Amino acid sequence: MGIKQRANAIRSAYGALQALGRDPTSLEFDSITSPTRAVLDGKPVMLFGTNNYLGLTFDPHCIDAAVAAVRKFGAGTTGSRIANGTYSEHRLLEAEIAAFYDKRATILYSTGYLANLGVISALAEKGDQLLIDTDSHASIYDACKMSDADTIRFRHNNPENLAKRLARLAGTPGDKIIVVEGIYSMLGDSAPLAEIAAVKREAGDNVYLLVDEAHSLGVLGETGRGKCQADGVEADCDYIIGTFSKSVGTTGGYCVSDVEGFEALRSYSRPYMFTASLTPPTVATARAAFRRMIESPELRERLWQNSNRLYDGLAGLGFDLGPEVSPVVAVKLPEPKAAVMLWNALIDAGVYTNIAIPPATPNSLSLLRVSVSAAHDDEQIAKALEIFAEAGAKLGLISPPGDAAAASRVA
Amino acid sequence: MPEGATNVIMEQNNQIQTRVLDLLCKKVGAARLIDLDSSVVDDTGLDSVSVMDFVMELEDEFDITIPLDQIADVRTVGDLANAVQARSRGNGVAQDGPTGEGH
Repeated sequence: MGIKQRANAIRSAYGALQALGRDPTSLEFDSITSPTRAVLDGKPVMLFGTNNYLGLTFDPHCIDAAVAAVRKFGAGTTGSRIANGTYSEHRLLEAEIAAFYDKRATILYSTGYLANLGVISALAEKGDQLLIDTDSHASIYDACKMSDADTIRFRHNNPENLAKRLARLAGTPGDKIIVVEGIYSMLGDSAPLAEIAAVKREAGDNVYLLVDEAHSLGVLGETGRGKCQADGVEADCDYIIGTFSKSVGTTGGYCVSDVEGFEALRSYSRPYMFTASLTPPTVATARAAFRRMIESPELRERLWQNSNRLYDGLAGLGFDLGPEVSPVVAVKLPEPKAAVMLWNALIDAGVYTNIAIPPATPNSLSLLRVSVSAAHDDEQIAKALEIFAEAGAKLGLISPPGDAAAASRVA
Repeated sequence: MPEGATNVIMEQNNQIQTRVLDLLCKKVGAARLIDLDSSVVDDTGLDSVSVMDFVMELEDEFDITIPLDQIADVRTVGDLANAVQARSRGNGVAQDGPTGEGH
């Protein structure tokens, strides 16, 4: 397909949905006034689609650290880590993250996407095999494409299926790298890491486990280290990937590992070597945010209270949700048109969520992806539920208020 | 290769083609007519993710490994059956690539 034909194909695929209201791919916020409030097209909205799990984007410590760093080190590094882009602050942040995980080393990347791209593509070379969960993020798929290793998909969150696929590879040369996520970004479900780690252990010495904790850092685990910590399998998780663009409230990514020789990646991981390093204010923000995360476990508690309230509230209204309570609450809708209409109706009424439709979703699902923050207050969650109830009933997606009660009386 | 052995391989190939075709027809429904020359994407209505899911079903059905980069070369249903055949184990069926070894 040529460039023009592809553009036409995209237009015809999405044009009808865009005609139903706003274009989800070109939404523009006029201003952001707090972790949970913004102005969109001149209208105030509550933010329920930001991944800002701990609400640290406006944390005064983080902002002060960023301002001080930009004054001290300048606005950018204008170079990659292997050229002029490594400052003392990058090294300090790497050491602090390694200490946070109690692991040997951390390598920073300029985004979470680049961390997956850089680590996976560098670890797995020709003759190796990458075993990835079907619901993996696009950055994992792209990393596999960039690697010369064979990529094999296993069924989502299915350790038995993973074991079967590893068994088929038994006796073949090459390292096997299992790639999973702590919490999956679309449905908000978490990986059964204890079982997956057991499969890895049984499969032999040349089998490694890489866990992307993008959505679980600061969210799960006793000290917020993620799903590996929550499931007590950190020793089995050879490589842990994280991002600063969710709980940490800025941008950037990293990989932390105890594996001998891990830091050799600095000399051959292309997305590390050939892109500009994190800017000084970004590094300073991340350092301050990690400190806040460590010192304020109450943020995590608050996040889970809010997640439970929103999940239970939406379930009570009759929406079909993702399989487990999580800061990502996925509202499943019958088809893309319904998702687009509900998404538009919610914005009209003052609630911003994320929309996700095929092929960006597993099993061709159409979703509204609602994300919760520790910064949401009770009133905002109550108001959001009220707006969901009205918009959902108006579009015929749920029964109007009172109907369920009436139906149960008749029954 | 003796003529008998060639016949055995041809028979296995036919069986694989028939099975792949059956499974694909089941997946896309009766409304579409599909044969070995059909394009896996254009003629089935499946998007790229559904094609990858179908390949995963084939891996389990035939107990084989088909790495993702192999699918990139697949255009027709016949190509897909050939990929399955190339990765199938034992009985003189051709094996191909690093993950085909050692089965």
